[in-house]
Amino acid sequence: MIEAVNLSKSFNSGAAVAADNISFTCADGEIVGFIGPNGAGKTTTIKILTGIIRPDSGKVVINGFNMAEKPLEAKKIIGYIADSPDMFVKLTGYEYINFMADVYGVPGDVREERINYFAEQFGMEKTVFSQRMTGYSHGMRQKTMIIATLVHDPKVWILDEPMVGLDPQSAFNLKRMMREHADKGNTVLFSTHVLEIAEKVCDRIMIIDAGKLIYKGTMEALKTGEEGGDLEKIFLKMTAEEQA
Amino acid sequence: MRLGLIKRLTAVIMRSNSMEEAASKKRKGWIIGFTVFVLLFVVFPVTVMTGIFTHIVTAQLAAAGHPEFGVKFMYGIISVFSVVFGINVIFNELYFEDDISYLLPLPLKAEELVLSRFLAVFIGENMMQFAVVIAVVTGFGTAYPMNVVRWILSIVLGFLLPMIPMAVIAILGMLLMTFTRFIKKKETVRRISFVIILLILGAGAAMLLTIDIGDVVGYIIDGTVRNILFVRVLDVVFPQTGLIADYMARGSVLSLLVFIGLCILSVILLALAAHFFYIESVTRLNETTHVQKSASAASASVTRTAGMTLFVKEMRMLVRTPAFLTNCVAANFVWPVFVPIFARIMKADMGQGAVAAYFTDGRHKTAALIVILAITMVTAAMNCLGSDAFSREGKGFDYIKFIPVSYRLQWNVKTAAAMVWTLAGTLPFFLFFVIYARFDVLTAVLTLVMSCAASFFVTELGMLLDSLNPKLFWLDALSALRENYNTVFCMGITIASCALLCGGMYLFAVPAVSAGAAALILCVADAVLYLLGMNAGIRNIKQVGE
Repeated sequence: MIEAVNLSKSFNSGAAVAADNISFTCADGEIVGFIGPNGAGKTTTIKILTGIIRPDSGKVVINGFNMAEKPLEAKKIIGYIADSPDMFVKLTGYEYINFMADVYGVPGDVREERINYFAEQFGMEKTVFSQRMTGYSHGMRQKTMIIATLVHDPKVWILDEPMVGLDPQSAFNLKRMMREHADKGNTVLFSTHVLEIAEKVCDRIMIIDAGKLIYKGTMEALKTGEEGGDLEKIFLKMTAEEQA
Repeated sequence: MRLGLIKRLTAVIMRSNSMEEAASKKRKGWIIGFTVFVLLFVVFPVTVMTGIFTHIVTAQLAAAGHPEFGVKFMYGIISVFSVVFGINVIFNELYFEDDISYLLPLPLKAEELVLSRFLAVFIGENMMQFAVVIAVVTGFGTAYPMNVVRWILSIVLGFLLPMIPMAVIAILGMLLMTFTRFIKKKETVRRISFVIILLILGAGAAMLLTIDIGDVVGYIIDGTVRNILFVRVLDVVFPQTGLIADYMARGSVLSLLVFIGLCILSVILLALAAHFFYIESVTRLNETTHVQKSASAASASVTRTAGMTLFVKEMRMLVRTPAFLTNCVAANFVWPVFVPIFARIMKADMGQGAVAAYFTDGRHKTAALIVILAITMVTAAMNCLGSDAFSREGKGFDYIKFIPVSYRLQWNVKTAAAMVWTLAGTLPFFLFFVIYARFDVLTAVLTLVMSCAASFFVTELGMLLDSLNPKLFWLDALSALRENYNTVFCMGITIASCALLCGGMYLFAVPAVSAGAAALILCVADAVLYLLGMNAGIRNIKQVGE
């Protein structure tokens, strides 16, 4: 479970507000989509949730562990995929996955099993992992990052634009994996620009604009009574109103 | 060719290579303080010493009828550095910077692109060495009279000094890339450029070996110093230095015009080379290699502790990233090359008996300890393993924060990775030396402790400085190191600390006391720096990006 309580964060001495008193809960067993225009504060909020950035005020609690007080315990529960898969590309796929597995203390036999599973899900031949990621395509890097992130079987998935670069089959499989993970009683929070993905996958969505959470709830509730239920129109209208 | 566009593009490139400003006023204050410190206590003294050296040599040789030699020699040395810098940086700028892939689709002519990049590098290079050029001109002008016009023009010519060697390197680089079609991988090109730099340094070292210190004095006295092979080679390879020196010494307008003409010609040739060769060669380079499906699968079952896996990752990144391999790792192993050269120049008997006998004298032994301390500290600062420890992470910096590993452990791992390379480049040689020179056990042990403590001091200092404002926005690894003022601050503070310590050591006649005192001071400083790192340093890291 992810609990964000009154999160605020600004940059440039308050000139740019990235998160303005944001509160939400992502319960166990649900997939929550985080939607917003560019620069709305999605990535900043996600970075606060994962302990990369500290909020000016407010708190983050992951499965009962306060990120400010018990950061290591909280981080162990999270699997985080950054928005850019360009980390440590001089390592081979195996070296990177092993690195992450070591950091999270995954036993050798367990990681081997999980790598096999994920490689199959993403249609990757394991031999690829023996080569440096500099030679990988963007999509292959993204898949490798996802595998490395999920190799320790985190209870809470926090994914920043996870579908970018994935081929249709891999994207489909990742969405299925997200559903399965949530159905096991775990939590998935992911950001996306693609409204159709949010519509298909999420139990709930949160819309952020200019650092403010302008909607949180189910897709059905959002659509009710709104211009024939077209999510794109609703989204554009809401963000335009907020900016006005 | 659109000059306005070149100017704008140059400004953009320079801006993209520069560091971000520190986020808070407090950090900005620290950075200003370090800048003033480095300027006052390092740049200024070095400049003054360069000026004094040029002044003395010019005064001596003016009497022998060769007033230009001092300037020519200093400019020759600067030109050597320009060549090495050019190979290291211009290759990178023209072929390896990742922004190339964004610039190539733009409607820019090849010569506009190349000249912009060249100008950005040229200005950057000049910013580093202009103080030295001023010092050389001042040293010369105070020893040999010049009128006001010649003073001004001498400074202008000094500013233009690196232009020809750097343009030639850029042209050669483009020709190399065009006519060596087998080179398609960036890594291979980087290795070639590294080997070329080693060859140049090796050739320089070999030529220095031919110098006889006794004869140099004679050469200076009878004015035939140009007979030294090293000086002759400098004259041949960098004839433009002679033109500048000739103008400064004799006011030769012809030399002035020829030099300016050569500068213009080199830029025109560079533009032509870019026009004909650049696009073809740069578009052929390809970082992405096809993934071989037949490669054998590695095992994923090797497990390590978090600390060890971070350490292994750190080592792999250092060794596998060519810019880090050459500038951070290989840099530790360069200095031993100069030991036999100096021994040869000084006509020292390197037999063990002679060496041991020489170092029975307390002053000589203390001098050796001072050299050991200086080498250790300068090497540790030069390799910038500490001072770019966090800058090296670049876009991947966030992982430090989201992985469930304590900041303290991560800090210690980075310290260990830096120390391994610094000590590998120094400690074995010093161990060999203290045994070879038959130091008594106490002095030997204290010497080695002093060296280790000095390495730690510089590493921790560098990390502390880098934690204040790491340079995280770079596209190519070399840019993490270039124009990173944390490395400059670290070098400056190291040189100042080293000078203080060495000065203090020289006061003691008993070597064991010198080494012991230095080791003790350094250990105390290490403890203070470590505590600072564990508290302020980690606090800084947590605040990065906030």
